[in-house]
Amino acid sequence: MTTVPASVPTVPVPRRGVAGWLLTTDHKRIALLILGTALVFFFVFGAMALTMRSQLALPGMSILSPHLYSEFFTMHGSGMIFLAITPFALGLGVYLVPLQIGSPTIAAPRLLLFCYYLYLFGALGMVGGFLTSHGAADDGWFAYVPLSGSEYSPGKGMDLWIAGTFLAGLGQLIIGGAILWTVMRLRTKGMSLMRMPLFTWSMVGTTLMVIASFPALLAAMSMLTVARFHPGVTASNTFNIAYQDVFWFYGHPVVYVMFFPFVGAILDVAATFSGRRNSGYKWTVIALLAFSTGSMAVWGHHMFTTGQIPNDYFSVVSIFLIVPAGLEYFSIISTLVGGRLVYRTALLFAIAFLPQFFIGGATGVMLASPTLDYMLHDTYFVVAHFHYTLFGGSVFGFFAGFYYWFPKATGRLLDERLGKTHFWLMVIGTNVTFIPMFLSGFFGMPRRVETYPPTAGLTTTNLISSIGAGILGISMVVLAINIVKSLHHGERAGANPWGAFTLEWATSSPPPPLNFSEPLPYVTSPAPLLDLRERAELDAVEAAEGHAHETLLAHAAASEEEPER
Amino acid sequence: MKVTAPVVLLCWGLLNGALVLVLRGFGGTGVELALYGTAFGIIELFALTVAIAASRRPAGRELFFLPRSALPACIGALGVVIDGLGLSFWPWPLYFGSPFIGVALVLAWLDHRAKPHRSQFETMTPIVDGLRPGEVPPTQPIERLAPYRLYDPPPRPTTGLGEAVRALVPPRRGRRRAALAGALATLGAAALAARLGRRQEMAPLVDQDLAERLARASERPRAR
Ligand SMILES: [Cu+2]
Repeated sequence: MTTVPASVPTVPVPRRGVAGWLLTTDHKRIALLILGTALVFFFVFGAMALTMRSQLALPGMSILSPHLYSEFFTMHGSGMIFLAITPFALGLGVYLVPLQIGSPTIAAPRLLLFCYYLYLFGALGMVGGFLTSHGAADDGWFAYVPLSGSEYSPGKGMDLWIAGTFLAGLGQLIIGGAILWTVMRLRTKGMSLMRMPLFTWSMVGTTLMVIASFPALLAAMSMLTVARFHPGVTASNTFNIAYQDVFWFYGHPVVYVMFFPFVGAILDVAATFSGRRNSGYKWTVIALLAFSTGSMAVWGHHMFTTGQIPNDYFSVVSIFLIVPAGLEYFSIISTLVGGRLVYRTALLFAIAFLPQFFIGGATGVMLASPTLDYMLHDTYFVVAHFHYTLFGGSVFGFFAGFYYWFPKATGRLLDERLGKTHFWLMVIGTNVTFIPMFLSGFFGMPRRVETYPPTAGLTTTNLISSIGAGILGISMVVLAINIVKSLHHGERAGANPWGAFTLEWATSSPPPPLNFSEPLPYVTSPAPLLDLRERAELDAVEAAEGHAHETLLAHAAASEEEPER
Repeated sequence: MKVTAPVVLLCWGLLNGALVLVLRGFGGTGVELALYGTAFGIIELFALTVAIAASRRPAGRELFFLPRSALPACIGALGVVIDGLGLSFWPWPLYFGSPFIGVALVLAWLDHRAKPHRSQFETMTPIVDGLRPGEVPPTQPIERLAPYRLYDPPPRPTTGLGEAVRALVPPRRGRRRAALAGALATLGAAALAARLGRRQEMAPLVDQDLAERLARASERPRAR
């Protein structure tokens, strides 16, 4: 038996069963708790969306009462943003960042578990509003005052929503700080900043935005609390506009928090499945940092129609964001174009991200023009726009990462056939749902109405949208079947099933408690495992070359001995 | 300038600082400037903290703290949640929640004091180059999973046709028929797989650059 040196840290053997999960300080388990919880909420709030689409399929339906419809769109929006997609983004970071930078653990793992509980119970508080007498919050995800004040929104549902949002936001803020600290301080030997995988870089941008903007969410919830205790404050428009400023100072960057990590995932997926390094690494890093900086400066574009903000500034800065966005696109596309692509499900999701997110981004540029925004504000055009970014973009990016890293986290591959079925259903569903919404909005359909008159000319587009939503619902069933099936019967993954290049693939699947049980290579580039492979191949070539050289000399020597003819 | 952690954070903050000034130039209101200015301040503060940490301990020599128990996190969260959600109803949940927070803080403090599991990087993740000859890699795997190799060959991409055929024609329905269908399907699948396989074959493990170097290396002896 080998004796363990005194300096070696001993970690208690992980507990078994439920306690092993609920009392864990392993960043991987905490991340899986976050991701699993977020996935459940994703299904729950997605089901709410399907119910709303059924209500809107034809004019005059009565599946949801007007009040319940308001509760549903509020909980769908705030739930997807606070409780599903943001946790997807941060959970991926908690799982992968320490592995990608070769660290045995994350900074402050116990604090992270604390944050998970804040998120979980904050979420349950928000959803718990449905059990109160007035129902859940019903003022939209941005809860503008005075509508969300106690005068117009009485009942405990709104109070619980505020408290729950505060708790979940606080947890996510601390998680962001822990991830950034880990990246900044706990990198392995040779892993300089410019040798970090691009997913990790995307998490740097993400967490910087979290640290800079999430305090504004806490401030906004505090303002709402004041407004509910002292409804008098909302009599002054200064307070109401200040609330919008504070809320959107969080509300815009959080949209970027919800797609940055998935762009990072796609950059990694593109490199792996095209079998080559990311092209334009340095410029991609610069673009990620510039993009996240810019995202802090543009919140006012949600407030053009208030007339209380410098529209020209917010318009110019918002439109400027297409420069770093374009750089990221070029990076992904040029990585793919030069490679020999292996069309696994993860890559398919990454490729579909490109045109779909482009539609979301391009319509975003349209909405960044105050003139157009005055016309399109609060119509279904906006709904279609942000669903193309958040669903056609972020969720597709998330699934690219999900199919890519699922084997790392579980040790089993997801079923490719079901995965591809899921993918195609999602592509069809997404576009059938959201393209008609652009038209609905253009024809003048406002957001947040539970029905529309049959004479408004909105029936066809709404019916098509609802059919698309049904297809999306089916795709999620396929996903659920795939997850359950693969967890039990999936093909064993091995350490590096894709032949990927970054350090998370240099350990077993799933990794051991301190992440790496074998020595790590000294990191020499953003693709350390590719470096090792190339070095090994080059060594082999040199050996062969030396051998060939010797053979040649021997032949030469032999031929010299022979007499000339 | 070397790209270090404090530099990245500092520059990210400064870029935002510049945008605050631009906003001021465009006539941003007091609330907007205060908001954005505060965010700028928070980032610079974070940059300063990282800079101080870096000056005290160079990168890669950071101490890890491995908590011995997660109990303080659970108890503390319980207290905060009781306080936070309870406040929606009455002020008195504060009396219930706050003691939990106190207990959690004491437990966390005791955990830190007792015998902190602090360790330097080298003892946590051994580096190949850093190991002296004969030295045992200091990280002992706790639950060692199946030994792995760094470069498992990537699995061959499947077309899914084989599985589909197997699902459609289960062998219980008469072996002969199944065998016949299987043979036909296999033939078809093989033809298709051969076609798709050529297109989907795994990317070469070397990149273009290396491929060229390989080609040159293999040519050199002939040139002589
Ligand atoms: Cu925005």
